Amino acid sequence: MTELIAGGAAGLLLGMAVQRLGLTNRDNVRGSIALLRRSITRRVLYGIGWAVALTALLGWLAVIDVDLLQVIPLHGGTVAGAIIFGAAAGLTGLQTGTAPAMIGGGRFLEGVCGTAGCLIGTMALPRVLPILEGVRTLLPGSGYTLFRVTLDEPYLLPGGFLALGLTGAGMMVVAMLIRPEPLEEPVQTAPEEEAPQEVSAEPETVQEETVVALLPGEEPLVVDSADGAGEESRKEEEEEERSETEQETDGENHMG
Amino acid sequence: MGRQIGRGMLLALAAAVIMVMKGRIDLMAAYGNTSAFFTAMAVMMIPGAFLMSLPRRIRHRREPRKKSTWKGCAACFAGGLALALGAGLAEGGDGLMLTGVLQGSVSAYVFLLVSWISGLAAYWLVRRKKA
Repeated sequence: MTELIAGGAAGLLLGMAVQRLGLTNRDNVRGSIALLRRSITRRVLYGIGWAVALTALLGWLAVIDVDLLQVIPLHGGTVAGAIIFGAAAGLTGLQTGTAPAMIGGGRFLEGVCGTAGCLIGTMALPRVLPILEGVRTLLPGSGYTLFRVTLDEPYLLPGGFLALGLTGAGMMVVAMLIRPEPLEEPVQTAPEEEAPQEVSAEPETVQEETVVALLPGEEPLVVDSADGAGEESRKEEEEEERSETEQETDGENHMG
Repeated sequence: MGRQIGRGMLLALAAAVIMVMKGRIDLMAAYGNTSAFFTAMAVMMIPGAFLMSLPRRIRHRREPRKKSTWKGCAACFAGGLALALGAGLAEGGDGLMLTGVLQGSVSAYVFLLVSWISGLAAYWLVRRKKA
């Protein structure tokens, strides 16, 4: 029961994070892979950078049990699997982690179909993998880590958790250097000619209604409601709105 | 800038919580139903994403929504099959890749790099063909 509650809470948080990053929209995922939606790439890189730094800190503080860490060996299957996985993600904008979140935060039916595909594919793996077993032996398996973060696994560089944390900081710096795609300018259309206003038959009456009483020597005060701060916040809101990652957005137009 | 960092922080928090609990993010275990923790995690991602999308849904409730198409559904299903195959061959999909990146595993970085190059190539090849 504890497993279910803990897993559920973690999943709730992960689903919120995936939605917040905009990865429930297939066009956003494809766009970020193709570097057309650099703002999404930037967000994801920030997230991974923070996560690496946080994991390094928690590992150093021994909050994360290093015995739980499993290092997946690098073999031929890693490369072949990455090619298939990447091609599928680049073409469909789907990933095994974003498919369930798509059901809740994206297009429902496409999310269901994607999740069903992942489920059936996973069920078929025991039959398919023995056929492709030879691919794994193309490269000798080795379970290296970059730094010493586990007790037994071999590592390439010294530095331990400090170096891992610095790697995370480096990712954040790279994310900072990525320039988001420029905002699309609204299409400029020729201003429509104003229809001539009808002249009131009773000019005196109108004037009586719009009289501004001024004392002698005083000047009328003009209040500019469209001040700079308001404009700036409006622009920010517009940008936020645009980068919101819902399915209502038609990504094909953005991706040219 | 602050907003971008804030959005990333949520992913970092989620990943760190799962790392503390299990030491890995294994979505293939969820699809294969081999771990109650990961199955519950995958199921609860649905309401999590829904809750986060709720404010915008309410704000834009009067606007017409883009609906799923049969082409999109077919692509998603085929994509799901291919993703599962790729993840199974590599002994882990994007979840384990994220875990590997968090712990500095060389295989995870190789997987990340190769899958990105492959995705980029596939996207541009199809786009070129369409053009």
